[in-house]
Amino acid sequence: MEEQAFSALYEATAKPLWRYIAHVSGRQDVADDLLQECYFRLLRSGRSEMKIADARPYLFRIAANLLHDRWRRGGELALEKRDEPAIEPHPEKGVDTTRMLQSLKPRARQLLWLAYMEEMTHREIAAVTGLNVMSVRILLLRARREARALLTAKGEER
Amino acid sequence: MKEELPQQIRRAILHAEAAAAPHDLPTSRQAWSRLQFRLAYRPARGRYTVHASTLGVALYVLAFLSWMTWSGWLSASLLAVLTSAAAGAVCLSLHISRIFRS
Repeated sequence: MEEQAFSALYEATAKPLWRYIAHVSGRQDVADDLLQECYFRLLRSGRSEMKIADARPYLFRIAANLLHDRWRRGGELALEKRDEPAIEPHPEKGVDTTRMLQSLKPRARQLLWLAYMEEMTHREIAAVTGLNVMSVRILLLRARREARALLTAKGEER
Repeated sequence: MKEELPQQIRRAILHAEAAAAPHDLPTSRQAWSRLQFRLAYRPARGRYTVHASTLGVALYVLAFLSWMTWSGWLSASLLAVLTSAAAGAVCLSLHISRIFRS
């Protein structure tokens, strides 16, 4: 892959990919590391000549695999026990929404992000996460239910 | 009218995004140079180990079976089948290793 082609791909995909990883992992340092690892694996795979439209889901798939590896190694266990949001909130803005979202399980955060921020279909989410379409449907339903409970609780606090 | 759940969730995520401290990503030039460095200096050990070991096993099985069944045309046709199977196994291993690498 030439530098110019990489630059076009990076400009189009780096930001959404970083936001996705940061949101799901809950950590900016992890997002920095995994972002570089995603592009490294893409270049190493020999598929780097693919179009941006095809490379984007492929990069999300690599990111999902890397995040899954972290969960398997127990990297998220510490995160779930935290009291404070892992993503550094802006000091002048509220932290309640950040905290609320981070109280969801990583899998739920991942599915909600792909469904509502990336606006992927169930089939596309299945391709990215390696789950089957039926599992995506069920897990997304549960994630929505959890999010609704948290949003309702937050609404009642006000 | 009450806001629908998908919109509520999207809004909550966007709100959390807005609340996060700003973060600068490396420029594409920086990322490219780091990746080129990593690609150039990645450890060579293990790069071809999977293919070499698969090929080794396939050749060993092929040699063993040809030794066991060496008798004229039957062995020749069997060898042809086994050779194509070995080639298929190598291709499959390459495909699987590519999937795992991603």
